[in-house]
Amino acid sequence: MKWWPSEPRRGDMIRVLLGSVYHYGIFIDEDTVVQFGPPPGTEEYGKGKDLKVCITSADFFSCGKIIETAVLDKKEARKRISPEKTAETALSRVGEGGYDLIHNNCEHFAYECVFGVKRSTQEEDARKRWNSRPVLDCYFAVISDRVDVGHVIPPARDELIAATANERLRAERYFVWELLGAAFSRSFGYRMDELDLKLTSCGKWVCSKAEFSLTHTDGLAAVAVSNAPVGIDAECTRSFSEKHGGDIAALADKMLTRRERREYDGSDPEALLTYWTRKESIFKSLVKPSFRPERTESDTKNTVSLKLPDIPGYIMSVHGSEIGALRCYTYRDGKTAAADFEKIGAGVG
Amino acid sequence: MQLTRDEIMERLKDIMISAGGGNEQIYRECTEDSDLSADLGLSSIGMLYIVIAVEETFRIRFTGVGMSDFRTVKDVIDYIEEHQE
Repeated sequence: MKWWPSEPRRGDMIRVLLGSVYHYGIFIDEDTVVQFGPPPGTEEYGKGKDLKVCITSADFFSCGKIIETAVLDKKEARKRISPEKTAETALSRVGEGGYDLIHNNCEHFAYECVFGVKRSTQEEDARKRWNSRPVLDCYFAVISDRVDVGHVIPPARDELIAATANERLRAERYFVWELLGAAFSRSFGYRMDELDLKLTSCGKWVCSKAEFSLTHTDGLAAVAVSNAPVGIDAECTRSFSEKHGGDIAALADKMLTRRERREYDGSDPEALLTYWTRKESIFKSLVKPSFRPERTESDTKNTVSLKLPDIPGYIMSVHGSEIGALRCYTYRDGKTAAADFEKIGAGVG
Repeated sequence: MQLTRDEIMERLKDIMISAGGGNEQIYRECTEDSDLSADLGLSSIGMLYIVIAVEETFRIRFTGVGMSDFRTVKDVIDYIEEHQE
């Protein structure tokens, strides 16, 4: 359907741009335009309460703006109700109420008079724009020493958690899944029971409605959700120093690329951990069976490393093409809250 | 799970920041008394966008809502609080 500022004929759908929204009606003649509520902003529109299908002149309908007429393509022209029937239907509905800004507005009314079904392209466009907005939200939570491990969805994940022999690991696996549920709910309004969560042959959990990545380590759980492939990794700085403090140079040799080895000063464990989490977040954003850190460049524009003042002692990295939309949240006692974070550079502790 | 007014407010701010195009500071600092049009600068299409985003995020369906039903942030929070799952 195209819109042209051409002379409308009886039974045509017409519209006028008022501010930032279009007002729609069915043209009968110069003195008769049927529309759902008078044009917004006019005295007759008032506060928009109890709007009814009404008749105004074309001049009043236009509010001094240019009236555009719907020009249907061949397919639409075949599907449309005849102009005479459209005019009759529109006139027969004068006085009808039930206006709704989103689900039953002036565009729904006009479209229904022409095609027999309600439709609003303004509503569809706004919904499409919202659902395709860039999202990359990270959620972080401290895992308490006492976690009551319950059941999760889907059953395959529940079985995997239940089969985990190590009590602490079982608690972490349960908790990070609970955090995922909170993340999906807050970022997308999804419930876990409506997602088709499944485990791939690479051992990565996926679902068709959104992308996500999980990590848990030494008392921290973290989840990233996005509408583009995403990976997240977190490491505990204290634990890393205790375990690997004496092997820094050997580890750097194994995990850094040639370029990174030239860049790295060879002694700072936090900097090495930053490299590591960046590489792992990049790997986790991909569906690949094997991880080759020494071949994975960590310095990409889509990777951010960060620390959270509220949860000190950890280095986290997240990778995703929507990194510009990055937002961080903490999760505590079943509630999420926006969190401040400090970005750190690759290789800088 | 029922959200508190504070939680609804925080999520609404997220929505307005995503929808508002660069006015993050204004939305971050808004209060329940902030006027959607005069204080936050929302146009009618911006209002439509936010109402749809609220439907998607809070899983509620607005019914019988007119363009002028929501004058302040409080009006939106009241509606969500009353209609949330």
